[in-house]
Amino acid sequence: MKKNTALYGVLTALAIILSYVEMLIPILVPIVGFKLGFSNIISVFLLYKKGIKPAFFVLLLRIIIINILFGSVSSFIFSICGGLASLLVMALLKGFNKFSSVGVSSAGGVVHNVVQILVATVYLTSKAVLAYLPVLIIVGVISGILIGIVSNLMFRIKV
Amino acid sequence: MSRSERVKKLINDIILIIAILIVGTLFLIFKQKGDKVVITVDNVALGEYSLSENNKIQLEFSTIVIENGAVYVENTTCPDKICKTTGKISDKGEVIVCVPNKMIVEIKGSSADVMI
Repeated sequence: MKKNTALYGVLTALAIILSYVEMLIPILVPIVGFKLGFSNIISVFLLYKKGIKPAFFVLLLRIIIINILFGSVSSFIFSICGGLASLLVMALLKGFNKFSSVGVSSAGGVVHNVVQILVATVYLTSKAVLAYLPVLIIVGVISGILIGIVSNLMFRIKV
Repeated sequence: MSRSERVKKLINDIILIIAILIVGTLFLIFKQKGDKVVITVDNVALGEYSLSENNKIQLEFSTIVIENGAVYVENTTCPDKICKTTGKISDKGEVIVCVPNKMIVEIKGSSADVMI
């Protein structure tokens, strides 16, 4: 139990730092919700190494802290919905045992982006989203693949 | 995991990714052309214009041009200029947003909108 607590603490801190670094990257595209999802590396890693509960709690903590520090109530709602949906879909796909972590991560990336923008639509009551869905889906897959590959490299670490 | 299991998973991955990309491009193909341009400033609708009529709308802080079935912001005094770099929009649902001036230029269609 003590060993795990330290591990989760470190990974939460890492997830927070990754989120922050992502924020520093200038937004080259004027699209809402254009995220690279660096902190998903931690989610995927935890999902595979320790299971969905630790992954969920680290995700929750990371989202809460990042939004307290840098976000607003609305960004918190978008983040939590996107993150939660993404994690659930990844856990589901992992359960099928038919995909590798890269495939799972790419699906997670897409779900995160799509759910986030759907929530933003409802929240802002504007249907301006449909124009951005294709770009978000494609960006989501590509970033998901890259995140999956990086996570994969981390799997060698013994936890 | 044996080698063949790993290969099977990789193939499944590729199928999944291609499926997602196809869904993404389907959305791209089925984008509908819009016909109305609605300009809102600070949540107050300033006007509705037809996308098919060339027009130049002068606002306090920017000029909006409707030309050849597309809308774009020509000049603006706002600090970010993101509204200008957004470029031309022409599909239903697309928007040009100017956050400092709280301006939204949105393209709407007259056909029944599907509620999400």
